[in-house]
Amino acid sequence: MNIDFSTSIPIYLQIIEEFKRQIVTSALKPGDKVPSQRDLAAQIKVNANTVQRAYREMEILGLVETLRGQGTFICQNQGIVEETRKEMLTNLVDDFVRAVRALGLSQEATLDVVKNRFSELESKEEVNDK
Amino acid sequence: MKRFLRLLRKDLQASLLPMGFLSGITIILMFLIRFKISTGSWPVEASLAAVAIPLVFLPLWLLWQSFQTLRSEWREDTVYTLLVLPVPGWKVMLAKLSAIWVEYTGLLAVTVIGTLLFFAPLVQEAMQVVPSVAWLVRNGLLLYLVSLATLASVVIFVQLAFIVGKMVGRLQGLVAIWTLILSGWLVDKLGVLLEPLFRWLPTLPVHRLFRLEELRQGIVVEWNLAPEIGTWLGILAMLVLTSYLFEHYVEVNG
Amino acid sequence: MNTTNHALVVRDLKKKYPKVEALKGVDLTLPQGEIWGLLGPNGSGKSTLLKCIIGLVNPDGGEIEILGSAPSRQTKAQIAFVPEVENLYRWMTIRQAIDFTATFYDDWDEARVPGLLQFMGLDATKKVSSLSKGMRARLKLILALARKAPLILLDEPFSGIDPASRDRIVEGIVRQFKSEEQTMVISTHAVGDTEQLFDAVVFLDEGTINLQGNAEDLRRQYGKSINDLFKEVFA
Repeated sequence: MNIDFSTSIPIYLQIIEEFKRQIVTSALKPGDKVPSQRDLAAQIKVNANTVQRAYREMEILGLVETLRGQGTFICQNQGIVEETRKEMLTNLVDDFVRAVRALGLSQEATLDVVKNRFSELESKEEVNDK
Repeated sequence: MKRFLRLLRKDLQASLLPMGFLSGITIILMFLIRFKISTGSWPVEASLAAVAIPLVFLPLWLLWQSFQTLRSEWREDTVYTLLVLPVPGWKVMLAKLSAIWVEYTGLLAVTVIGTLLFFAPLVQEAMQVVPSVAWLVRNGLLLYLVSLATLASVVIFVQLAFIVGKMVGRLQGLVAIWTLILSGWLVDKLGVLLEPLFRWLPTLPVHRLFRLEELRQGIVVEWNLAPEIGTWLGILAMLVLTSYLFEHYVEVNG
Repeated sequence: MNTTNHALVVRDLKKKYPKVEALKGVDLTLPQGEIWGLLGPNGSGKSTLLKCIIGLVNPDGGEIEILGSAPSRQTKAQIAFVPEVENLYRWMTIRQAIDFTATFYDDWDEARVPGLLQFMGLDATKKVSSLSKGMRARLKLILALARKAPLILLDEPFSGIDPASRDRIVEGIVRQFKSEEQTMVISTHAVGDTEQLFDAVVFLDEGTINLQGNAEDLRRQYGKSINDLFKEVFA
């Protein structure tokens, strides 16, 4: 886990965000055990109460479930990966759309540029990989 | 008791170095004088000095030590540890007093052992004045107890003066010295004031050990305890006051 | 007002030194189970406030309640206080310093000691005087964390020590702090690497509180990290 504490975002939200990222990239899979609150707190050197708050929120969001005496696990519900991916994508795109509209650019022009950039960046990465 | 003993142990360990140094110096001094006498370069009378010098310096060192043992707590910031301990102030003060008693006894023992070791002829000569071994033990013990009490009063005076000095922001030394003078005067007055209350006490027959002529003739003087009682009550009150001030009023420097 | 379920309540606390008014009426209420950051530049009164709570300094006015009681010998037994100064007896070994402290506190948990020593990288046979400043800071923290004290006060535990020691101390606090039974106040003027420790923060400026609240709420409300907020308030 890597969290930048110098930002203005509440730490518990950053922890949740990091879990979501790991779920989307399959670093954490449904049913995987996650660190205990105390272990994670020690690992990222964050107040245990803050980690507890993050875990409580994630339970409410249905990302994780705590089984008495066994620990905390990513929810078995296969839908969460898809849901989380959708949610993160929606958030990213929302930010992007807002920024683009604030500049007064049209949807058509923007979408074209998006498509072009996608293929350009992909081919660049392929070159870099070789 | 466990906590008192821990404090006592701490104070003793803290002065282990000067204690060892002083014991060493005493023994070396005695050995040196003994050596000079045996080679004939110094007269036999020098052996008196060998015994007298440690006994003269001992009270001076103890006076210094009763001040130093408190001062070092402030100088080295360990008073931050001492003042936050959940123990009554008297345990801290009494531990320091007890440590000085133990140190006094230790250095006294070194002087006595050194004298027996290096100046046996002198001891033998002195023993001729002494009526019996039992007499020596009894009077020696009495003298030792009186010296412990005297030492306690000195330490208690110094402790009060030091703690009161620490309670003011400026002129700590001046305040401490005036506390010393004033408390001494008060305690002395208290002895005189309360003397009538304790006239019923019997007097204590004692030998004046440093008057050799009296000793030879077996003269005994009656020691009137009545004025002492008030003085000692005063000194005890000072110990209580010092402990209270230490626990509740002394501050560390801002 | 029932304050017995608060770890610490301070009301209108005042303290004047000959040259400076250190506390000008401080009010503070700490619920149990939280870590509070007492933040402010040097000379803001942080240290004086902590010293008033433990009883090293007598306030001129106001009230202090520690777990419902006024400061006394009993509350000293409930508080683990780590001063900024080097308060350990230098001639002692680490083991002696530990044993000395253990004698005076009924809440001492000897079972924690070996783990804490190992975690902090300290050799119990070493003398206190032979340790670096950072190592001594670690030892001071061990003496507080080996106790099951309901209230822990740390005065500038990170000031002037090496980054490795600072990391160890931060992690040691996170590992050992038991929010079910403990409350902690940490005073510091170096907020940067430590702000993730705090549930709540108090900004103290020249003896007056000018901002306090839950750390996460403040981040959200001001859109700033606590460190940036600190820099702005004390600019």
